[in-house]
Amino acid sequence: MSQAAAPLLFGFLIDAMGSRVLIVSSVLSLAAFAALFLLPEKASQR
Amino acid sequence: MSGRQLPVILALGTTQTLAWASSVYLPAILADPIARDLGISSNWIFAAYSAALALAAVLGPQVGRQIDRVGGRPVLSASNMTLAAGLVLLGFANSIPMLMAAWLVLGVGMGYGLYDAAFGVLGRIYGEAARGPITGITLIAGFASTVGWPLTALGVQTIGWRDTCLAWAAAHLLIGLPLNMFMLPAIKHAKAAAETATKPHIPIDRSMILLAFIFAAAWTVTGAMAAQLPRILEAAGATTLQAVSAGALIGPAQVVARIVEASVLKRYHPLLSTKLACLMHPLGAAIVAVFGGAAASVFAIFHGAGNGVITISRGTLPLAIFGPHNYAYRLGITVRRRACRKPRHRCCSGF
Repeated sequence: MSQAAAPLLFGFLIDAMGSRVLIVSSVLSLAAFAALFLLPEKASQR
Repeated sequence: MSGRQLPVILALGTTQTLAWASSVYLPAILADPIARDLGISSNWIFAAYSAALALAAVLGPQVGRQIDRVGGRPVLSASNMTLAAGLVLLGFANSIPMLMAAWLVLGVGMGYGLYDAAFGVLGRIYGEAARGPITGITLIAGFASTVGWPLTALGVQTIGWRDTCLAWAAAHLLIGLPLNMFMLPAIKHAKAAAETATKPHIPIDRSMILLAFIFAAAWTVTGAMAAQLPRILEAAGATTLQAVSAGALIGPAQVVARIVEASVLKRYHPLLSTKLACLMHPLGAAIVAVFGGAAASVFAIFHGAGNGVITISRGTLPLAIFGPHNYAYRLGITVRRRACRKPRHRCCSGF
């Protein structure tokens, strides 16, 4: 579970990494950004 | 956005503000007083909240199918009653099992009543023209934390957390329910359609998987920041006041970004605004990395702006890519796959 567990998981990560947890959140955002380039503007109809 | 759409946008914007303020934005204010009163760790409240979020996600496809079949009026009205029931249960909770039960009921209400359901309703009513109304309701409900947090905090100070829960429940029955019941258009022949409907086949293809991954990643960041932003900023060197003040900027930043989306970016495919939105959080994080806690407000503005647009993209991107056919059901599937990040056979095979 990602979104549902995020508040708890990031709580643990902050304990371990401090503000460097922003690296984790930034990597997730950049992964989403990269994946957007693979999406078509319009899906082919089946 | 046309004049004829305005009453529906205002009604849904109001009911969304109420739904978010009385569910998602409750734990940030109520976790500590509930934990103190019940003599438990506040982690129990966050665990119960996580369970509610997970349940809401699991319900996504069923909620979407219901909206596609019978329209939004009965579904969103049911969400008001369910959220009210969950809040009453929470108001009377005196043990961990009752706390968990209350949040599970709230999770059902969240599944039936938050943005995904509202976006599905707008897609059902307006088809491909739903982008404007989707932006419209997020412009209003973008203030849910700005309105909800102070109201809940005021309630805790004046009438206590239990009566605050009951007050939110009353708001659902007296404001949310009538608005959803009387302001949303009825879908003609909905009952007959519901009786004869078959489960739609939506292939879980590459585009669907990518979409689910994108929103899973983006909403993991959103969920984490909604609960932990002040701690992160304090860890970066901000004072408590700087961290809290920065948090207060997220709501306005969301709304400003949504106005830009509605005015400037609406001419372009939602892919463009989503890409820009995904860059906002890393940019803000880079600024904090360079300037430390003193840049807490700048980070909050960047994060809030990105988050504001991603919320809209969650509704507009699937609509632009796949069209309005079975739109609400498709939204529900991406929500559930967001919750199940690793592709699991059971998550996909039933569709």
